[in-house]
Amino acid sequence: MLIQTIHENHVSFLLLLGVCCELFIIFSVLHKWEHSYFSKIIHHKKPMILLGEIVINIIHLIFLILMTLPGGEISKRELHFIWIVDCSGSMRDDGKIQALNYAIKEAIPHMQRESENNIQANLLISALKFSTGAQWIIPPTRVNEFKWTDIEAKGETDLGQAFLLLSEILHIPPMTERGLPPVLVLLSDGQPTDNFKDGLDKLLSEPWGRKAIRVSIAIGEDANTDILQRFIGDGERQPLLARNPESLTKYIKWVSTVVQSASARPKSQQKYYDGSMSNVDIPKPPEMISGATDVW
Amino acid sequence: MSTTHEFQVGEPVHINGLNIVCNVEKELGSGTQGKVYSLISPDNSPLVLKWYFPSMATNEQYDILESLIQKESPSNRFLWPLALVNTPKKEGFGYVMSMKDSRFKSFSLWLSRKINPSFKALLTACFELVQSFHLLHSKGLCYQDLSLNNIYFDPENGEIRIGDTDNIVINGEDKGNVIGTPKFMAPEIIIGKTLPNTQTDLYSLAIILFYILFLNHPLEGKIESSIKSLDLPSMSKLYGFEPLFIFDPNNDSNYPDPAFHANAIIFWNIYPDFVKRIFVRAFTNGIKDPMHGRVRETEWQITLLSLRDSIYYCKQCGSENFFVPDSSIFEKLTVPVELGGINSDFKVQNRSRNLEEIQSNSVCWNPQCKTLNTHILNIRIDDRLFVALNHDTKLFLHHIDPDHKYDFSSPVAEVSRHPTDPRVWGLKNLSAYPWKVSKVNGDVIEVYLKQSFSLVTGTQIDFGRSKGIVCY
Repeated sequence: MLIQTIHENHVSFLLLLGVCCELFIIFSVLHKWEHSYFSKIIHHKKPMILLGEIVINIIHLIFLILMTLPGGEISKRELHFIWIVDCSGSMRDDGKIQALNYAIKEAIPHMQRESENNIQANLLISALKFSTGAQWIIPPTRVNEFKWTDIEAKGETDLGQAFLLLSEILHIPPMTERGLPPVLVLLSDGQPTDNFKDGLDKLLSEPWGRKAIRVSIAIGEDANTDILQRFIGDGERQPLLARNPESLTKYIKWVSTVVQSASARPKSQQKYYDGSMSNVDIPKPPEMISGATDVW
Repeated sequence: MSTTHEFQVGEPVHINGLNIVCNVEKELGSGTQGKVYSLISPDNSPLVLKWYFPSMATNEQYDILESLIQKESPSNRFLWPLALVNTPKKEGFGYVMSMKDSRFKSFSLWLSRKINPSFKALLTACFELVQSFHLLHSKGLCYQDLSLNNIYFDPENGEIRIGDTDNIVINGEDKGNVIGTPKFMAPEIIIGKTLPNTQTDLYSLAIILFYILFLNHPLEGKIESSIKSLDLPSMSKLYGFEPLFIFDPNNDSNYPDPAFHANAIIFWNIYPDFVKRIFVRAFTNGIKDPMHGRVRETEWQITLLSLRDSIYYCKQCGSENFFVPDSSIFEKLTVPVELGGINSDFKVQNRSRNLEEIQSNSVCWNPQCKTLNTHILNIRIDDRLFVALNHDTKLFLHHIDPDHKYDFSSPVAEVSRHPTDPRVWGLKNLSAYPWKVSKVNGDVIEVYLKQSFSLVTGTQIDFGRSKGIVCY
């Protein structure tokens, strides 16, 4: 009388095994593996009967799969994370470009782990480089499939071109109707060689450009931090100055984890923040490294 | 590279409070407050060191930790600070705590549907959360930063662990570095009216329960999906200045958007009314009246346990469903015929009609199944509660002893199968106290430890402190 209350969960694994075995037998029949071990079994079971059994077992399996709870994944918003990378000729000096390639690759697994715990955002990463002109090098890619391709350094520093290229995508479409403020990370070591101001104005005239979390990392002491500051905008945040490869790695890891989660997964907010209505509350950057002597 | 507030792999850590020296095994992660390292300890007990960033290593934080270490942990569910760590070689300070076992997973994995727990495990986790925070709050403490990011559960059995305990303070002291996590913060904190306290903890707790049981934020409906870029100003409005529950019975302007909030609608249709009612109260009165309108932990406890006891498996597909008789029917069914004041024949007719009404509500939610489940075996204990009897149901002191509510330490009864006739199911006594079982034919038998009686409709059991009746 209690049959209906019986729920035998553990049969699922056996069923799965059964289906696999029988599929293999059918497979061996189709490929005429006369000498296979299974040929003996085939003599006992006709393929059509086997096929019937498989269908029944698969129906059972589907029922068991359906037994999972209803609904689906929580609906997430799209979060665009964009690397804007300087690969002008000067980045060749002292292995800066190699350090940058290394640092971004190093950050990817941390980024993926951070994103796994993210209940709010679908992280899409893209990258554009600028030297003489600017080009997209990686289209928006899911974080789990993201691979960094090493870039080489040569040419001018056309930062304005990069801003123009960026402003072309920072509206709807191609941005989604239901997103989070994008994260723009600018990495540069020098002085723009083109008219960066027009590009920046164009970028900030786009609503998504204005709303974006803009972070910049100066690579080495020669970088024009004034321009990097203008990219970020006014406020308490300043460009991060990476004096050596270690601090570059550290800052890149910070922006790729903490900043993405500030835009997406809410982190604990600190109590005494200044209350200014910024778009996104981002935590403090990692502590400045004291005693760094190996200057680029 | 050596910095003054970071540890290298292998570096020794002197934990004076525990009288041991450990070594850093590896860095586990970095947060807004500091870095966390796993330690290798002399007795191999799994320990974790959290070391604050210098800007976070405040005197206030030090005092908080010191007082937490002096107090005992409310229960083993909390990953409580065990000892402070100071060393002249490093800037700031840190503390050690136990490391949670790897079987405990983040709830974000459930929200992303990367793990597949049962309703029973989820409800157990919810109950444990509520129970743990009840213990914490009844000690006069307040958690301050309750969110899905610092709680973990075992998807197999629903056991939980609560991390980030270093922000716990005495309620009302206004200490600590945090005001909470957006989306989990009470509206009165967002609008700047108050700082975290036990009342705001209750709000965050309700948000967490809703997230776990509905896979949606309780305030994210049509208003949320109309926002193109969810930035800080729009979040303050949605969660702080104009909060509106997605299932507000008096205002449907924030009803879930089927395109983005399908989960909320699906689960809303599955849970029984008494669950919906308590969530409606949590997010209507609970928002309007932070001091007196919030659902208390004890109320959540009763609701969550009743819901867990009502789980039955669909006879066709095995999905977990909830069986809840309407309360008025429930009353009629449990009032003995002698007290009914109605002619007993009429009562019997009335009773069978009512049973049909119950059954009509028991259609399996599984869209591929939708089987009508009738005759769900259950036991009703006094007028307090009922438990659906499945092949794996166990009863605890909680069910049969009104003086031991919430005692789930060891089972006192379990559903068992007849050793020779597998069609016959029974209830086995796992306690040392014999039960008096009145069979339908009037015979009274005694059932001792490890003995079972057949589950036949109408059988009455005297458990000693309470009485049960088998219903079908």
